[in-house]
Amino acid sequence: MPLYDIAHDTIYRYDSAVLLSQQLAHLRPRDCVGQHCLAHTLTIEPGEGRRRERIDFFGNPVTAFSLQAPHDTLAVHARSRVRVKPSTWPERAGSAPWELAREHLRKGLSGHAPLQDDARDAGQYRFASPFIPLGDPSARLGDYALRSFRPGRPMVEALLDLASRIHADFRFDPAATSVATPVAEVFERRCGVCQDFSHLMIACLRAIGLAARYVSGYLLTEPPPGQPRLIGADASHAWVAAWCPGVGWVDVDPTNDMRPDGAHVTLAWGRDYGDVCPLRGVILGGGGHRVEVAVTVTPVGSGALPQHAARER
Amino acid sequence: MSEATRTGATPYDEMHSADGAVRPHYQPYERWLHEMPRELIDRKRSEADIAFHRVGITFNVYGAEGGKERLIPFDLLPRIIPGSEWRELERGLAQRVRALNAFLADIYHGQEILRAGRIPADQILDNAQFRPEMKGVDVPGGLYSMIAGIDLVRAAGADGRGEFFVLEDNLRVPSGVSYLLENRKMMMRLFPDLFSRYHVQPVDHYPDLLLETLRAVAPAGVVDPTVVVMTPGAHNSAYFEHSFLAQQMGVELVEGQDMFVQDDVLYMRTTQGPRRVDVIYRRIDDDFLDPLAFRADSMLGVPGLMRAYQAGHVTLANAVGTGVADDKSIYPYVPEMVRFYLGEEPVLNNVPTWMLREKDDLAYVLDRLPELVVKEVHGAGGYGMLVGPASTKAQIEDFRQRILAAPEKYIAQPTLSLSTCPTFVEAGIAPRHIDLRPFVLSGGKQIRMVPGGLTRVALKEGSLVVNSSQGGGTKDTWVVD
Amino acid sequence: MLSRTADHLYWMARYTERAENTVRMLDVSYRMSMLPGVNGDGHADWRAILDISELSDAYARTGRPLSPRDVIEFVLLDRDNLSSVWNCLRAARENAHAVRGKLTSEMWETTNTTWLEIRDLTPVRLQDMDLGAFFEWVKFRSHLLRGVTVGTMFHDDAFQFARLGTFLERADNTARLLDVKYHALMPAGEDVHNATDYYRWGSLLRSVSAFETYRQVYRDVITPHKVAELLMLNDAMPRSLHACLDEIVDILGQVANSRSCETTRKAGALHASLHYGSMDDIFAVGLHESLEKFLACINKLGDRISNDFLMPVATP
Repeated sequence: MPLYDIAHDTIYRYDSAVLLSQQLAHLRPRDCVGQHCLAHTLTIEPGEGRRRERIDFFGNPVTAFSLQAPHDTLAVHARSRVRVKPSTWPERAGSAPWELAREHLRKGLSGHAPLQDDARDAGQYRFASPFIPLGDPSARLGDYALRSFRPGRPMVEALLDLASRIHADFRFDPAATSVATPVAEVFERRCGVCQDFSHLMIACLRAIGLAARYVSGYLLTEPPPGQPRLIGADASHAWVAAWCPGVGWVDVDPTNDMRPDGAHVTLAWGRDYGDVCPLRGVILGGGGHRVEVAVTVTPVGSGALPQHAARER
Repeated sequence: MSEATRTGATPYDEMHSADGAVRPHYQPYERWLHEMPRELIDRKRSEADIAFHRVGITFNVYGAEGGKERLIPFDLLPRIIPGSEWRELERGLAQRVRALNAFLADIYHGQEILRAGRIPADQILDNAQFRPEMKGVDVPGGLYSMIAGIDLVRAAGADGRGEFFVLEDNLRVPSGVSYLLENRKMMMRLFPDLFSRYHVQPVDHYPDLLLETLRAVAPAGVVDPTVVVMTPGAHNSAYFEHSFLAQQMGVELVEGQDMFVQDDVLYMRTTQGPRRVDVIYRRIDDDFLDPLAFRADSMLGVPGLMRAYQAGHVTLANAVGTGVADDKSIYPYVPEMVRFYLGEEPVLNNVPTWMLREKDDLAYVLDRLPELVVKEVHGAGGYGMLVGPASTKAQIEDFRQRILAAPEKYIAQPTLSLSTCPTFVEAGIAPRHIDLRPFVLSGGKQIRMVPGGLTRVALKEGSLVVNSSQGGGTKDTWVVD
Repeated sequence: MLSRTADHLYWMARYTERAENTVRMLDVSYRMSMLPGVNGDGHADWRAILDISELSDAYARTGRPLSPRDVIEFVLLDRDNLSSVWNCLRAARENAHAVRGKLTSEMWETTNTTWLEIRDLTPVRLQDMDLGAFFEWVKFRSHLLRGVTVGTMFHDDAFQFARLGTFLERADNTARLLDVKYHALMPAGEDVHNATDYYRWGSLLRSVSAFETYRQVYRDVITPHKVAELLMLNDAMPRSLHACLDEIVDILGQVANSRSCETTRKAGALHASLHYGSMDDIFAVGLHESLEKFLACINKLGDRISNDFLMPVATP
């Protein structure tokens, strides 16, 4: 089973001193089916602040910290060691027509039948959320989705087809969008980054009555053959999980047109980016700022023991 | 549909019965009015105007030129409610608020009512007012809406009796109680002799009740809680009321910038150093409370407040997320809540409501737009609604298109013929439509309210819109024994 | 009390005091400009007015000529000049509005009425007015606010912070006035014991309502040395630096909190330098240098008061 060391460094440089800073970090990989976080440290500079750990309402670990001494640089270093099990794909159960998922949710949520617990939990990812409004373009998004979700088509097959089409129809362009670019605009301009494609795919799925959530995490990228792994060359990543009755959540990565399969590490999930962004804060002072983010995912041998344990032996 | 709500029925007159006789509880007033020279009344009216201006009881009207402060017209003719009627209302209001609080506690915990299929889950989950942040958060006493304003209207029944209906629940930041208190003060000052003819139940202890209520919901273990009133600031339309209530309760009126959170504990900045805050009576919407949890661009809130709240270190009154229970899309289910949580039949009825998300209801309503009132489910303050009988053909057609574009955004109700009460107008005394907003306080085990409430009156002849933002006025409300 | 409330009261008082002192200075220059034969350099006085308030650069940017009318307009009414009397009175009213619930109705009505009366005043309308009477009006409104504050407000911490604003601003303004005027009137190298210009020194005294007092205290001709002494060291003179520091030290003692020790100490040291100071010592260092140092101290004191009481940024 793959074991990874992940370094995620964020550095904010401010034009003038920040007097007070309060931050929320979603930087500790959550434990979930097929994933276990063996070790995690979060180092914050300047270090004399206060911090608290808790679990947010989607079950993700979150660290809240505040800095009260004036500072012009904030550095947050997250180090995690995570064991990931390649996912077993629900071939058989996933072969049921996708409409079953929609019906299950519709019946459960519209009061025409008692609500089952699984549908209730999925239900919170079924509707509009702050970054994914389902207003004006929802009909067009629905039409786009339905070209993959043809009548009677198996859920997983349709899901992968939609991811493929997004991958084919949209251009990856980090310069084209920002955190604030609305889904409708991404759809219009046909370009964006992983966050945009994930939001778009979620919007498509919700527009046709399915439940989908936003997964924030990392992806191991293999260096070109013969070249060393570059420190900081990776980035935080995002993909989508859709809900399938009797199966649960099925992950799919529209940016890379693939099913996460041992190379994806989950940090947190929520309704959209806003629920799980790695670092969110409010500062007093500071003026303008520049931010640098560096992520490195390093495989730790195949099932090798952590280094310090090896030394003890 | 009951006879009482039939379109076009003659409105119930609060003062006169159908045969024109003065109802018993208005008779002493009628005799007194008869003795009063008209000039004296006119003088008292201008006296009241000047006094209100001086105290500064004004109201900012949205969209008005430069957010100008405007006086809400005060009508000298009181609305009188017999004690026996009030006791029945009180029972119904307490029951309704108890059920609404039970609903909120359930929605943010076990969601039994959804599991039972009594309310469609999508009405909750697909509602911007539902706050996932509140899931599993235990609030003191299990209370969410400690201060509720329930809007009641009265319509004439077939038997000539007026029946009260709940038009709307206000469970977030209901306002208007300062007018209720100032109106009474004004009446006692202008017409002390009237109060010797009636035994009018007092209302001026409201700030004490409110303070007791707020203290009762302090976090567990806090012996002498520090209570504050939180306002968005001096430019808010209800700022007068915020400062009035803080002053009357003798507590600080704070803005977001006055407070900070450390180690999940909330403090306010005072000249003597930080002071811990235990209970916030907040008059600011959920979205603006905490930029770390909600709208990041909010300059009005306190970063980290939600964390302190979720940790149980501070109580917010009202709680975060109460809006999911007073939304117009949830309103139709409130009687069902009373049955589900309390096992009782509702004392107070809803106005019959068609939900346009349902195909049959939609078809029915589209056929009868000129007769009905159509409301946006997430609208407030009388904006975004159609009053069929008072609208032109063009307005109705325009609204029809809006409904067709998104039927699930609307509900419809019969045009209630709101009861009328005699009111001073240019031409003398004439009937005008009124409603009633009692303020219901829930703290600890008790539900309490001061007798009566705020009576709002539509000053334009024939108008049914009583909102102060749209030309409504107010009256003193007497509950008499 | 809430820090923000204290902050608003403090600035309400400071801005009102600033407006008053600004017209006091204008008044002097205006009167002098009407005296025959005392205008050596007609521009010097008006430039001094701008210097006192550190407005020369801002004024230069407007491209206006250095004429009495233009300077008066700029200092009184300019909307873009944040120190103009118009803006001071607006700011005073805004601060009062923010804490209306903490003011007595007399205080609110005074501040509000002052603002309403100056709000629509334009340069064109100003031309038709008797300037002297207008200056008197501004002074009178400031006196009135101070009077109703003392006479109607409960003498708790809120009251103390309003007073603190008044005296901090006044100490600053008197020091600036003395510094700039002194050097405009006293070219370097002249003997400070000689009165070179009776009218000019007299008008300086008038601008701080000290003309009669001077006569009463010194029963002597007006000398620059004594003028400086009266305005700096005489603690019975209400606008003197010493008198202001008396009040500031007293108030800081009353509102002290756990973090304000150093502020109290600094204010005490500044007070002592005036209480035990002598004009000979001051002139030995240099009057300008002494006043500059004083202004820097007052400035720092204001910052410390802000940090300790009014806008504490850092948490405990």
